[in-house]
Amino acid sequence: MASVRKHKLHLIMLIPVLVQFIIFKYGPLYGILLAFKKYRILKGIMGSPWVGMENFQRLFTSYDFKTVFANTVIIACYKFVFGFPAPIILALMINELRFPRFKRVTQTISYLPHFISWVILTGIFMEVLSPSRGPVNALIRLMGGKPIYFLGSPRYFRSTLVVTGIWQGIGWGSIIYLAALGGVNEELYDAARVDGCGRWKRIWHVTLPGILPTVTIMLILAVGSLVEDNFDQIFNLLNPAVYSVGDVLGTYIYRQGITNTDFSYSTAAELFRNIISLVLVVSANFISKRVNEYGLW
Amino acid sequence: MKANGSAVKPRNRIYESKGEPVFQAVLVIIFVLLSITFLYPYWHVAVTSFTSPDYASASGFKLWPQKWSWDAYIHMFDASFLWSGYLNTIKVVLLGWSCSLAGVILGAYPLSKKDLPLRGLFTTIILITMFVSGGMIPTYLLVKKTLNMGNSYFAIILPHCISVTHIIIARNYFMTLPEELEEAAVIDGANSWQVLIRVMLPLSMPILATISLWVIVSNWNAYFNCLLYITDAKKYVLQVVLRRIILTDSKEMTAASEAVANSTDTDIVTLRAASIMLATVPIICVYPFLQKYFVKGMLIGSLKG
Amino acid sequence: MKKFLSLFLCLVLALSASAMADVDLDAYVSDPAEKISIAWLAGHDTDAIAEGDTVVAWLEETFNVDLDVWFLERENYDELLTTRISGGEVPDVFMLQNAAQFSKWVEQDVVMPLPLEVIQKCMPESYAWLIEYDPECFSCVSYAGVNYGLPRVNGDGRFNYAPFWRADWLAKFGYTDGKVPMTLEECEEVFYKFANEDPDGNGVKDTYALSNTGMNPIFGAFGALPDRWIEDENGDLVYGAVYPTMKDALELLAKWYKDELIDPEFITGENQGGYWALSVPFENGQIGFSSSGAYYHLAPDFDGPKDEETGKGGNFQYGRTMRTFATTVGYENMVIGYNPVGPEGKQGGESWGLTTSEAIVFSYLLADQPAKVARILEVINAIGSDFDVWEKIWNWDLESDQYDYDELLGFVAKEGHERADEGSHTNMFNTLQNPYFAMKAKPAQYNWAMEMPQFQTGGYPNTKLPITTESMPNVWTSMETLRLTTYIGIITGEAPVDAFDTFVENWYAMGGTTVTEEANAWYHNR
Repeated sequence: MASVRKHKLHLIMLIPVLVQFIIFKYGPLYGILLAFKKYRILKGIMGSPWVGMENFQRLFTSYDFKTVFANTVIIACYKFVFGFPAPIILALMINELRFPRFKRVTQTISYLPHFISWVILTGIFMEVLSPSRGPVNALIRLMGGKPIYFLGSPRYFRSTLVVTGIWQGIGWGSIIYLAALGGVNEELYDAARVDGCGRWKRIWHVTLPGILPTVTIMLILAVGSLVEDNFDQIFNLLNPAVYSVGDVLGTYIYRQGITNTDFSYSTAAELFRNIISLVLVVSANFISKRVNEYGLW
Repeated sequence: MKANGSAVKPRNRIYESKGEPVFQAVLVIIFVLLSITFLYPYWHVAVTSFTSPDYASASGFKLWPQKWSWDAYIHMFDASFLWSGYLNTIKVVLLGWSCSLAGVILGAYPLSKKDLPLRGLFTTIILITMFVSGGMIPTYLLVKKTLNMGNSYFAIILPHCISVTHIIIARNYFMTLPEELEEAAVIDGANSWQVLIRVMLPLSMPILATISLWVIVSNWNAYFNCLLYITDAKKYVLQVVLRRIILTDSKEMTAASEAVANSTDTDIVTLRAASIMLATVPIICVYPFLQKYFVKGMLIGSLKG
Repeated sequence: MKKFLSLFLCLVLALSASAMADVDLDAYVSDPAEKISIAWLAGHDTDAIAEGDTVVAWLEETFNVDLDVWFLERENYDELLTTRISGGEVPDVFMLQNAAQFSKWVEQDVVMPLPLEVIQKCMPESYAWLIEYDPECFSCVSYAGVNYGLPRVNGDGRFNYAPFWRADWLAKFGYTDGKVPMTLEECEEVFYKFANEDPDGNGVKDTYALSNTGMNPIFGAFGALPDRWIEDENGDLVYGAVYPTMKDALELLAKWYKDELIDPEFITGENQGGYWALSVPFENGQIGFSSSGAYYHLAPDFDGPKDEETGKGGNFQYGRTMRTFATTVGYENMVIGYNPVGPEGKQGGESWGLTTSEAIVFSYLLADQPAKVARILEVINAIGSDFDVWEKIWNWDLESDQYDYDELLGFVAKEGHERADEGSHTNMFNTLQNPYFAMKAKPAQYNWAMEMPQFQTGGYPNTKLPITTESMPNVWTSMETLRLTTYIGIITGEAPVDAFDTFVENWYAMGGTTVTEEANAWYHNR
């Protein structure tokens, strides 16, 4: 009880937050029942007839579910392996830069692509990556290679997705790490310098441990969003020639749903994805707690 | 602020090792090359927005407008509600930003206390909502029917104002701050509010700046809830106004309706480019103001102050 | 036995008579003195209508109604509509954008049946021209034998797409003075020359004959388009993708691809995120044959007089593609060709059909308010069949103080007035889209197209099956994915031509058999 008294103000602070969550997050939660119902608009969600697992069956038994699910997992893994460290590396590089004005300008430029929609970026990429007109292929030809159809060939499509995705998100993603770097105790750097540590040792022993809590949290969150593909990107870059390697859950569900807005089906699909996310996050959290003390729980 | 002054000093002292100039040169070259790739698409859009419609659809690299034209911007500025759109967006951003920041701080700070009673339960209540959501229809019924917030900006802001990830990130940041600081303040007779405002928040500027940036940008770009809840054209936010001006092409459109919908000499390509410029230039300008909070030495500055 | 039969017949007659009597036509009369409020969404709009708009006020006064005009953004139309209706807000009359939405809303019972007799009674003039323009137009708004709304016709649907050629390239190979290859064989011959004999004269082999959209006329020459339902020789509907002759078309295209006649970048399309009807490779001089865009994109400039300084005025009768060509390949270097005639004498390109897949429907809440339905139909009828009323809606201008009428050009904005803003709400009230009136408003473009036989060779309309059948939502996406991947695979040589046979088998097995049965059941009972 002593702890309640000690934390009285803290508990009071939490009240508005909990109220917001209960009203706006838990209030509409009954909508999840739609996943097990066939939505009849005039009867409302509660009055709509139950259909059991029919919506899930439709999702799992559809002809190309296996391909689509496999693509989702593979692309997510690529993006995780290459995409997760990228903004950290960029932030560390920016952190090492000396010239303050150059540093600020570079930072600002690095997140510009975040503000341009994938519809526009796709048009630009078609031009830049075009086998006949694009500068990238001009370079490849100059070096004696054969032009590559990055967007239309199943062999290169996933790599193209990963690289363009990293390129677009790296600057924006590095902001959180730059903020974390701002919190690293400067005295530790001085101490490291006195101890005669070189750059790499300093990064390894001071900088990285300093941002480790942030990295851990971002890592767990990234694991949780593994199955949430970057819909906008894939949807715009995808074309029939690369369906076999590039069609993911998001684009597939979108194409299924586009003919008519089927809320029951999309609720089921989302629930399925969220359950996977939950499992992933809980496991990542568990491992993280074992390895270092940081975690979501 | 003292933090800024002390930020630069210790950095200069590292300029000692022999390899440093070479290392810096390599970094600069890398960043110049990267910056060119980052800059190009934006440049491309900017150039397109200033190109005469007759030339705009031509493909290829765009380094400079083939033929200058202000047509797209003239058309945009002619449109009704553009300025009120800016004003409304600023309202939404400011309102949303204050709600979100308050929510995140009030949620994160107590949860950063390891011995808070029922901490696990509260954390779980908040975390669960990352994985379950009722969807659009129940939320609409709640906001529009139960709370009767139609045509109000609260309908856009309140349902999404507190993000779970933001709470977690802020909470973890609070947890990394040295406990001694807080204890010292408590000994000086400060209560939890005073500790939060006088000690914790000034130390957390980098993370608060980051979350602010996220919240501001997402509120700035949001449009769907405005489409859903705001029916009064005078209250439209900028993104909705811009979308209205551009109107996506649709193959189903017949000549009659297409001619009417796009009855302007301005090409859709230039219009779209101009709308991106109008929508992004102001928000990009926000960043440099927040950037100063990312400077190293924040912590040490406050410690000495 | 005979007696029994006649008794049976009498019974059937009596039953059907009583079914007819279900519609109490006399109830569908509105009292002009009674003011009726209408929540109106009978078209799409780019913009919410401002309060106190004079045209809306005029409509309200003329028809003694109180209009609550809805505005839902087109791109999120179905989602927004579903959510609003879920919240209990139902517009009295609203537009559904496509067949799938129409089927969905009818099945959800949100839409009331609207017997043809009621339409005939309340809007006789419009009914007459609708049937005259497209006798089958109501099949797009009927479901399981019941009529549910009003069709929107399409004045442009009578013209099929026609391919266009690089005239200067053709001239090098003997096609001068506007002559173009007419048969598939002639096309093939020229295509090989386009790819191999350096038509642009730059000494480098960097040209192709065609890209993505240019394939449609080729498929058409074999009697179908892969993504359209067509009627086979027995009068049954067949999906184009599995039509047997498509195999021959694919074999030819695969050969062309191998011989580098087809731009390998056809996979990512021709317009690269720009306006949908533009062909970037054509503009860049990479290909010499394309079929992107309808007749009005290819029309020459008929734009009315304009203010030199402000650029205001005119009436926007110019081909968008043509305008772009003026700055790229050159206006004179482009010639509109014919859809080539195939080995069995077939030809055709894309076509939109006379009736759009948009439907105008009425809220279920109006089922017991016949007077209100009657009034709404009267408003729609007046706009659809009275040119004086229609003109006000089309120009969004009550006194005609912003427009002049010109016999050749139609409505032309007066000096200082811009076409853009004034006309933006037209579609919301131009509910039926009377094509005869539209022709009067923009005569130059229509008349030009009428005299171009290229646009009247017949095409494959996309409205042969204007509904979504029962089993389609579950299987169609996978079937379409399979079609696209198979077709591209065969054309690019990744798969042999015989993969077509496996594809047909799989397509039917996946659900194609059921969908085709459902489609024919609808088609034969429409």
